[in-house]
Amino acid sequence: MKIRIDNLAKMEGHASFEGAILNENVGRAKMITEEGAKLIEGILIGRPYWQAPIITSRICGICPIVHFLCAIKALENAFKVKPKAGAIILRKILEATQIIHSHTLHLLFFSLPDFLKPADDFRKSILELRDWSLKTARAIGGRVIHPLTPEVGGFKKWPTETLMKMIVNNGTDVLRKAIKLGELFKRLKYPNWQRATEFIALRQAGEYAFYDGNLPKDFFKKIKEIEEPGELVKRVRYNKKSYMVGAIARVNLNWRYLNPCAKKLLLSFHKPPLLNPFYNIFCQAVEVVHFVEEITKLAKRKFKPINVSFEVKAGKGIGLIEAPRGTLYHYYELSPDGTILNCNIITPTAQFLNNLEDDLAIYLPKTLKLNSEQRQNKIKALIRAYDPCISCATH
Amino acid sequence: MAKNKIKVAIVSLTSCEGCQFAILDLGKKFLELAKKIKISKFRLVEEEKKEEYYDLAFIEGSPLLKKNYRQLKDLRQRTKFLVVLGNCAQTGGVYAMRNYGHKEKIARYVYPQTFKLLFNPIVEEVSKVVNIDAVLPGCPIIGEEFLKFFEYFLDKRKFKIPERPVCYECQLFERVDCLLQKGLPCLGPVILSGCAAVCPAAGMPCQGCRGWLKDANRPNMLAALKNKISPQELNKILEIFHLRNT
Repeated sequence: MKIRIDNLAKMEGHASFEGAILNENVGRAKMITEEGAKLIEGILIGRPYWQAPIITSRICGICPIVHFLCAIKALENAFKVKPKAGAIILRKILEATQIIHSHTLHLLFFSLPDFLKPADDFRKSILELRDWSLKTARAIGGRVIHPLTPEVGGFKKWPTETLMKMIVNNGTDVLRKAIKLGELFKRLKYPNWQRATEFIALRQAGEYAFYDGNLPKDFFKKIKEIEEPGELVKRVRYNKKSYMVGAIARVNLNWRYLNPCAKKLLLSFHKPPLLNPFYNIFCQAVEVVHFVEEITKLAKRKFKPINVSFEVKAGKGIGLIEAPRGTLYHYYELSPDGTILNCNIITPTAQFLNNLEDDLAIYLPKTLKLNSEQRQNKIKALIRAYDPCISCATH
Repeated sequence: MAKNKIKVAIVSLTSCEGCQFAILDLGKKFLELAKKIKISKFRLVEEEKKEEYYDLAFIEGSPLLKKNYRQLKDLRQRTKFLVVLGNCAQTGGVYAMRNYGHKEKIARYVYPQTFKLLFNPIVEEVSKVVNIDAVLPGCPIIGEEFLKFFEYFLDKRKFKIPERPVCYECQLFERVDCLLQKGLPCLGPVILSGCAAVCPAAGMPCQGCRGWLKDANRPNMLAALKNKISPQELNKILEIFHLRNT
């Protein structure tokens, strides 16, 4: 039985699905991306280093903040610049707002409709939570879609103390809304199945790593970006296998360091490891709670608005950060005058597309007994559970 | 008399979808607008329905696939009014930087083995492929401007962005030290405003994502900037949003 779903909706970026059910146990699945060749890495060659964050944020409209910050981290690594504590606190808050606003959009508009139609007041409550994250992002980053203020060494403009106080003051109300969101997602009827896979995310001792952290030892030696003819995504394999990144990976690896309300929500549902790919949805809801708590914690800290001056020089730098959908990697090699000589970007979706296809291949035969429309709905629900970002994948 | 809601389509070619997210970020205001119109096509938030004819359509992104060209031409035929949404559709956006370089070399850098199989066109403005009726500029668009456009459209009035430079709004909304006077290469005096000078307000010099201001004195501005930065550095700035040689 062949299945084709064109123009997948409620997903960032354009893609279609093509699959087949060969028998009761075996399926085949392919995600076909339908974005043009953007060539962002090629376009960056020969451009001044400071344009990297500005141009790479245009890779994606739902996660521009994380590209902007990752590029800056990579450049600071290349120039050997260590920003001061205040800049780190603000960037962490900014990164947390990115995760909240991306997750809440995906949860409310993309995934939830696969399960139920939300009540108007629930939707209103989530939009208010999302609004708070957007306002906070704007206050620190200058703008949400394609941020402005972060730069190598610190910030072009620092938020006022009044703004920081406002963020803290709204924290309790927003946390209540986030927990309500989590409780609803706890009760959804997720299809009951699972598949073991490798989960990869940044790790840091004692922390739920998101802005900083480390990948497994020799990660870059063990991964391969694979170019296929007619395919614009350079899919990644780790030790020749597919693997998962994103909320479910972070929760599985670092759940012990979740903030208290988030941890309570998680453990009231299922103790890790979570192996049902649909639970990526619930893990995003857990992270929304976690990052609301995190922002409130960070915004209370006192800091001085100090930028670190630096010398533009030749160098090579790596930036790693947890984007909403998984680990993001930027690499730049710079000439003595700061021109980009080489660069490489590996996005979360490019890393997990193979894992999604492996999941779909096993899941498809389970839909044999459903009618065509029901089967398509289940396939779409699984694809959306991953929260793919095809623009990032095809940069 | 029952008022017929206008049928609206929001379509994207190849893009970051940021302009669509700018619309969704309007939150409650977007949902209120959605009640006044019939959104017939908006892949980002609802399942695709059968193609129909629209009163108003927005096109975001650049035509970078052969399929994108077909989609664009098809949409033009299906809609009475077509609005360009954002810098990619208006000028080619960040993808158009390949037009200034060697596009095969650029493609080979990203796809060393398979670049020969790529469809890698010179990036074109949507207006070069089909006739368009209006433009909402910016990278991304300004959400409030999108709402303002609808206010006029639903009232059957023509929406026009006031021809004022970014400097006008910089002074109106912020008491900032002028970045240009500080020696930074800000394009404010020759760029169309409507963005509340959001970039200079955040300390980022204007790079012109909303396009050239009509009748602005470009030669003077560029000459003045060449006193502060080299012609090559200036070109690199003008290339970001496809302003150089356009």
